[in-house]
Amino acid sequence: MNQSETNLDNDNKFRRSWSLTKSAYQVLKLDRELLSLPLIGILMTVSIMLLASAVAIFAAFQIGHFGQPGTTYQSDQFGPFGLVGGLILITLVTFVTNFINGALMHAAIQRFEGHDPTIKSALAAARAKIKPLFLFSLVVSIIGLLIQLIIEKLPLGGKIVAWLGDLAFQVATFFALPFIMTSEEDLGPIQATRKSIDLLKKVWGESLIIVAGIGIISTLIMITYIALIVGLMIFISSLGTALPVLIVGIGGFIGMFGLAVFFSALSTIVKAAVFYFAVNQKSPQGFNKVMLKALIRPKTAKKIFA
Amino acid sequence: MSGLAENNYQKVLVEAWEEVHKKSQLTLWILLSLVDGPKSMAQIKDFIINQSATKFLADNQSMYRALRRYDAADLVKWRAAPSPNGGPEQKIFQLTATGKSVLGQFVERNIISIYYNNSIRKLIERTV
Repeated sequence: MNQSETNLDNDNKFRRSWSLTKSAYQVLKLDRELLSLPLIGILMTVSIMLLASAVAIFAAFQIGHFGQPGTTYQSDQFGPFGLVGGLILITLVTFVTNFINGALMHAAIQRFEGHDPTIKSALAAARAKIKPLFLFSLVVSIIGLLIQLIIEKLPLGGKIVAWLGDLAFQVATFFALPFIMTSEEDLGPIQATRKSIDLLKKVWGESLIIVAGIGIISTLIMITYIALIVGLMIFISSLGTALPVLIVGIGGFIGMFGLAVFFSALSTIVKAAVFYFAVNQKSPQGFNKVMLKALIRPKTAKKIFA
Repeated sequence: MSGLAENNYQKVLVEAWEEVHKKSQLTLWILLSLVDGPKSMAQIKDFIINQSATKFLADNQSMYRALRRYDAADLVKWRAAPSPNGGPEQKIFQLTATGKSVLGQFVERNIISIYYNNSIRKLIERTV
């Protein structure tokens, strides 16, 4: 492929990501109440982090570490109890994230099939899968923590290898969550990861580019938004008034939080759509031909004309 | 083999080949029928029967299945319209921009560049 073809291909990939983002937004418009799911997730995560921070500070005071000059904190600072505490925290946060994303994915897939999901039905579906979701979150957290420990201990070369290993693990488990949510039986973490890898082999490249594309789009929008808010705050502060700056700052922060929730939901819906198409080989309702055009493979194309 | 048996054998071969050939031509005939404007299913069938030299005919079920696939693939789109006979609404199909482009590319690559080629045309003429 020459440079102009590469540019055209990259442009097409960006357009597809943009089309898919718009389709995901249309799906979300039909079930606006589902936006509350990532909001609940973020609030629960923040609560867990605040509680964990309070416990950690209390523990640090108790064992006399806190406030000593030159103290640096690494994962093994508090010994095995610290590691266990860290693992519990990471597992809880991961579980909340997976629970909420699982609920949202289930709702999205219900919508793709023409049903009308609700928050109640979405959360009920996630509750029905609470055991596999928790086990998956535990395994992901253990592996994540092990990789983090390895990264801390090894020199630069080892750190890079460990980081690549972490990336490979994240890619391998890309579709694990939707498989857990849609499988009739309770899938274990290894089963779910195996199915995820098998599916990735079929839709490798295109699907990851699409989801990465949405990440880029949301990042660009966030950066633009932050730049606008900061610019506005600087402008208002130049007028010599403090209260409006504070109001704009707080409003801007709330808006940024809202955007984060919104794009988190969009990204989950697109991932669910990619999964749905890859497994069922038909476009999800609401995405129609956009998904087909983005992920068409020769084998699928032949069936159109057979 | 006697002359009659040979003729029968050749007839069976030609008809079998035609049958396979017709099945592979359905997409081309359906999309071609829509080049000069939107058509209902009945009008598409009439076009195909009248225009194809072998009076190629597909059953309604095959035609509907094919059109559903082409609609899902964004090759054609449809709208509901009142039936001329006063019966239930009928679907009027037309090519989409994607359909026009795909048809054009297919025809260029597989028909014009091959069968309009002088040397191939002469070869074909020599076979009859």
